[in-house]
Amino acid sequence: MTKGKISIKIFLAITGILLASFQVSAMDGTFIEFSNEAIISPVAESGESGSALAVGQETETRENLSLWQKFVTRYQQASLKVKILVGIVVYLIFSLTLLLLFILINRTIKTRERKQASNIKSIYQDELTNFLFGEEDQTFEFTGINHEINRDIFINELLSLHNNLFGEAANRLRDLYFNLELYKDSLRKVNYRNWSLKAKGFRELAQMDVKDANRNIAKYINSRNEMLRMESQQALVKLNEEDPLGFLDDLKYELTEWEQVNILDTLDYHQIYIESFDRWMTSENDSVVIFATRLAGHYKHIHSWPQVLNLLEHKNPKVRQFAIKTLDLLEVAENAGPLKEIYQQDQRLEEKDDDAFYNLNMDRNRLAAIEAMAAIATPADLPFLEQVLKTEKKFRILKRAVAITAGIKPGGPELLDQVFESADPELRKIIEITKQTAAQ
Amino acid sequence: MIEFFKVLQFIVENGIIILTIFIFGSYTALAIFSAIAMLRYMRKNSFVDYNVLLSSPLAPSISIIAPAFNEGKTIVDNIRSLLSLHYNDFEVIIINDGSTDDSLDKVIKAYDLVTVNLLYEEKLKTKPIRAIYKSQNKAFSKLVVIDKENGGKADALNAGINLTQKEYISAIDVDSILVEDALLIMAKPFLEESGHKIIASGGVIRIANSCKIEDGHITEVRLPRNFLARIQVLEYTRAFLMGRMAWSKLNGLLLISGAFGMFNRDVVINCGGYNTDLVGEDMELIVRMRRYMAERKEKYRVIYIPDPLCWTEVPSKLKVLVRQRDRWTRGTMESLFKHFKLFFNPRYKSLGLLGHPYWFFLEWLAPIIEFIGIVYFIIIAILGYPNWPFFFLLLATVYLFAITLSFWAVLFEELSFHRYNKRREVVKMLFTSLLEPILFHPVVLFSTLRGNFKFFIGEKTWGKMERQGFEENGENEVKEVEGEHPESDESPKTVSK
Repeated sequence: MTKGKISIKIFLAITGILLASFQVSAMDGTFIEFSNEAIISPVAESGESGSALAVGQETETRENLSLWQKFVTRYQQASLKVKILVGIVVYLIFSLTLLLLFILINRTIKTRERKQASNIKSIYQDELTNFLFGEEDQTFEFTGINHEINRDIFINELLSLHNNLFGEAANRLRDLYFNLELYKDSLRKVNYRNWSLKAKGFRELAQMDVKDANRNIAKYINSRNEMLRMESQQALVKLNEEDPLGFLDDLKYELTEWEQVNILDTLDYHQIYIESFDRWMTSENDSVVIFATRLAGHYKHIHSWPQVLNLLEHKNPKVRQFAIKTLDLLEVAENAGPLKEIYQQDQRLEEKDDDAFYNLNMDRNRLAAIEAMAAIATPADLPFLEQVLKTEKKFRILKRAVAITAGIKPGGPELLDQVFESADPELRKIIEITKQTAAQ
Repeated sequence: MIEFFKVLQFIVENGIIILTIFIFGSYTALAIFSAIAMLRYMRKNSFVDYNVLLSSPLAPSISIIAPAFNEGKTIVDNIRSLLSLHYNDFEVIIINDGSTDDSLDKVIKAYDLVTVNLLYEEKLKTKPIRAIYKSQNKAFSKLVVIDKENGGKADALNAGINLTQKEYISAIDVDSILVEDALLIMAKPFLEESGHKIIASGGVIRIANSCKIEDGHITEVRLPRNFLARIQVLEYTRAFLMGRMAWSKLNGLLLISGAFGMFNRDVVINCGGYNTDLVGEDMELIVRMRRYMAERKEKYRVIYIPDPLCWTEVPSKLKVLVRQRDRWTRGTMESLFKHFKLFFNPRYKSLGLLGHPYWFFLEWLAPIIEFIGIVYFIIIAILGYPNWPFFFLLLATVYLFAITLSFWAVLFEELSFHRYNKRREVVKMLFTSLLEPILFHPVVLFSTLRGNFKFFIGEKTWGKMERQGFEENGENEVKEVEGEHPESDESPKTVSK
């Protein structure tokens, strides 16, 4: 009998027993014992007709009461369970009414606010455009700018326009920001308790280059709130001209990849040049080391090569991985030796450890080392590649090693022919397909 | 014997009330957690510029894996829509899972495909692959098409996973519509990992029935005209905005919808990929991935994103809906029973102490208890013993609570993404929520019981379903078709109530 069939029989048997038991107990009248506060009728519970007189008197008294009084009397006599349920029902009706009103009123208010905001936005857009294309000595009035909400919309519009402009036009908007003393609004935001307003303040001040705010913002680079942390980092990259990444020295939290992406974007967008990232490659914060290494690769800092090379000895496999990738980007001919060493070292480490994630890092490092060999491999590297082809077990690494070997001339294709003879079926397949693809 | 029945009666009646209170409490707590998480997400998100990922050399690489079975009507447009997503380093792998229609021919012609000899490692066992295609046109260089023997959705996904070399995989239903920034938004949580490994992320699934669609993009969001589909809008809003948001916050999320999710490729492969023997492969994969991480004492998280990133059709016919829900129930049961070791097991932390027991009691057991309660009451009614005032009081409590939850869901939607712009649509949603417990819930209950029955007799079919494809006039729906096929690509999207 299948497992499914046994299960359904048990299921049916339990259901049958339950149903049968209810029937038996119902016929027996035993249901009634617990029923005055449950689904079974309390009238049935009494089970006696002897109390008919009392019931009759009660009915007469009840008939003289108003509906509300009847309800109150019944409620007072009810059990705790009933009282709780009545309480819940009243609460739910009340909250439903409130919710309904809130949803409908909120919709009306939001629609109106949106319309108003959209109107004022388009007014400010027009006024700002007129300002930009108007005469420099002309006096401009901006509609309702003293109103707090309008002022905030105005700042948003000004910043949005500023973000899309360069040169003279951007400078004029910046001057306007200072002339209208909007920086005071931004500085005030930094002092708010609400983190989102604070972060908004950071953004505004950074975009408008309010250098005086530097110290205020720097306080938040180790904030527990990750958004404040990130916004302060971004602002400091922009505001701290002398040392845009100086905050990395003091960073206690992990610099997430998302933060790295944003900092790099700020550096690129504002064309901020940093001479060297070497100083952060010795940081105790591994994420800072990784970021500095990535930046060195991204900006092709050849002078950082020795420092990156040192990182191949780093205890954190992830740091080693990014160091290998940076070496790949730097494309220095002398990379070959260290890459071979790191490949062999991480192969040995993997053999010692059973941890799947640790081994995954080792695999990635070996793959990265082989990838990095692609641009610099010469016939002198063939013995190493032969060793890889004979000992490597990971498909992805083998596949890459075969491709690199096939590209080394002279000697590469010949080595593949030679390895093919003693290779296992998987490696044979890789060699065959690589050769076919190369022939195409 | 009499004493036994008294005890039994006491247990049944009080048990039902206690369970009701427990369910009320759980949903209320989830709604509160969701509200807090949502508020924080919305505020946080107002500072995010996803475009920084577009050009960043630090952005992770992603493979979109989309199985297709007999999608001839829409596959060319759907692929075009996927290729136009805003992301830099990504590829689109379409797996033709032994379609019997002209899907493959259409794709080959439309995208100028030729067979290629690609090297890949078969880490996950799948049905044989007939051919792999790539385009000769450089404009479609991101596209890879696998033609394989039919093996079902899970098997097709595994075939796609074998082929990809990217860091993250995004499994989608090929006929779902993704918003253009979907990959940018979905990739972000993986970049934010700090101390915890992010193993998967999932987004809200929105209902596209009646929406206006042009060139594979939603151009106007409309509330479905079909009543059944409209009820599901409420249901999905409740489940996604009020349920999963909270579970993500509690790190107890057990399900990422098969319609759109993103996963860490290495973890998926190390876990053995999708289980091809189940009908609820998407939920089971997440449970297995979480279990894998917990057993290795790795810190991890499954993230949920409330942004409406994926739009899909839902059944607008009762028969199709019943089949879908029946299958979801079986999918849930498969995952719960297959991983029963997790049940209140402190070793698995939030997964064992919160996620698994919650799904066990509230997703699986609650409908069964509800059914027993109904049967019990019918018997009492037949015997003439019901305490009608108490019955109506209890019924009113449950009904009012159900619609309160729906009203909250409408409010969440209003305050967050506000996708239904017309006032009339909001009123319609509120009105629908009044009818849902009366008209829709019994259908769901019936489907769930049917699913339980089928599970216990060991039935593992998916049922017949075929999407008709999105029409530009907004008349989109899932329709039943003639002809038996072992599996369709319809994905189980279990939604908690």
